[in-house]
Amino acid sequence: MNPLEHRYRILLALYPADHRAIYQEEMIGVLMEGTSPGQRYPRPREAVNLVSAALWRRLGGTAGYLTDPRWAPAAAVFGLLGSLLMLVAGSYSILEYAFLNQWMIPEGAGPGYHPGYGAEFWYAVLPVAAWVVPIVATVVGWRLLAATVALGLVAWDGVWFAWVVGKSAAITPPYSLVWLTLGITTVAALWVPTARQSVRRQLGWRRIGLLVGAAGLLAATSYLEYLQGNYKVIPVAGIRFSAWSLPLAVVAVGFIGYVVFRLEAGTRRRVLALVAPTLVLLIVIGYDVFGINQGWRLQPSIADISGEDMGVRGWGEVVTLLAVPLVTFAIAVVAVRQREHTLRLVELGRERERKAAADPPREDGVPPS
Amino acid sequence: MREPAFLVLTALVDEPRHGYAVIQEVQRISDGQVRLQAGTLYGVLERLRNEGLIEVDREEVVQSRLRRYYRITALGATRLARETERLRKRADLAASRLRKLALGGGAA
Repeated sequence: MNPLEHRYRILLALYPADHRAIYQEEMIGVLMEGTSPGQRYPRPREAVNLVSAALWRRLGGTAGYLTDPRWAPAAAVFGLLGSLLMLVAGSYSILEYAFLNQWMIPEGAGPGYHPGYGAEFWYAVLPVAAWVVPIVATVVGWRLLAATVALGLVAWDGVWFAWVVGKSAAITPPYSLVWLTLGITTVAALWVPTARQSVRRQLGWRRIGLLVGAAGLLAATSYLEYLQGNYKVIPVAGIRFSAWSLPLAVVAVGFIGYVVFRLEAGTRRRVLALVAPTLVLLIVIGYDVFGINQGWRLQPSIADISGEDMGVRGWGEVVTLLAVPLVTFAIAVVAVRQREHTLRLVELGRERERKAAADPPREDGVPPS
Repeated sequence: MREPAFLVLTALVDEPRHGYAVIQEVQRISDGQVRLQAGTLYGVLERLRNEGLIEVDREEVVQSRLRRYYRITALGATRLARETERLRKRADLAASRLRKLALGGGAA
């Protein structure tokens, strides 16, 4: 073996074993055929290409699979859906201030008295209304504006969260993580480059209207609860619904389900993969998986655990909650890949059957040319 | 479909080719603009094989080195035809707009 071949083999050793077993000898042949007389070392461009290709291959098909162009339309649709749901989440807090605060009026207060809005209202609650901007911008087709504003809103939420934790050493309930997960996923989806006016082209005005209607119904559920006062609580995934609000929420989820179901199959699978992290985290917290509500330091109803009391266990719980969405997304991406791999094999088999039917073997046993 | 995959499939349409011959053919059909590196080529070949768009035609040993010839499958030809049609529509649209620009006196 000459020194150049040896050096190529060192570079090829960066590939995973399964790839080397199939392609190494063939690649050596190709690389050696492309060498110049007297060449002793791999060319720099060639070496960089081999190293990067090997590392990319080692990252696995999953990472590479995220570059599949079918993610773009899914990201566009999810960008709109996520922004709408973030606005719904914000509307709960805004309604709480608008109506609940009215009930806190002390006895004897004169007409026109208002308890006033604290810093939380101006700095944390009201800005959430700005999710209207990403929603409109996504529909109009100004993706960069939508992505920038959404990133600003989620970053601002993070700053506010850090300020609250720093000021009062309090940890917000795990439910905050559900909205944070949705916010981050939405921002990531909005930053994916898509075709111009992708949402309008995929959904059309009617289905966009259904999504907006679904968001309106979900926002109305909290309004109804505040109006009703004493209602029979029906918990779903830890969220309290009343006999009035639950049907509305079911209809809203039905609208969203219909819109997602009508998407092209590849897009639909990817939208579901993007929804999965938030949904699974909601279920994990709401249905007390891992005993979060029973024995955890971070109980959903407790917002004032001091940082000193957190301990290793408390931070372990935080890490677990943060890991749930990440692991869920990884599993969802692998599931999409497996499903599409199976469908491709089926398509391949059918193609061969069609070919065999159109070009049957001759009776003398000689295959057709 | 990305450009390297498109060019590799195109290179395999007329006859089965081995890796180095694919590199040369891609360079020829791209008027010397694209010279695939081995790492890129084998990434594309592996993906196309996994997707059933190409398959191994035969293997030979030449000067003690393995040569594997690849050929395009019926599915690969269908996919390439679809992609070609898509690109043609875009090129036609661009050409038509450029003609309008030239007619309007806007072209430099």
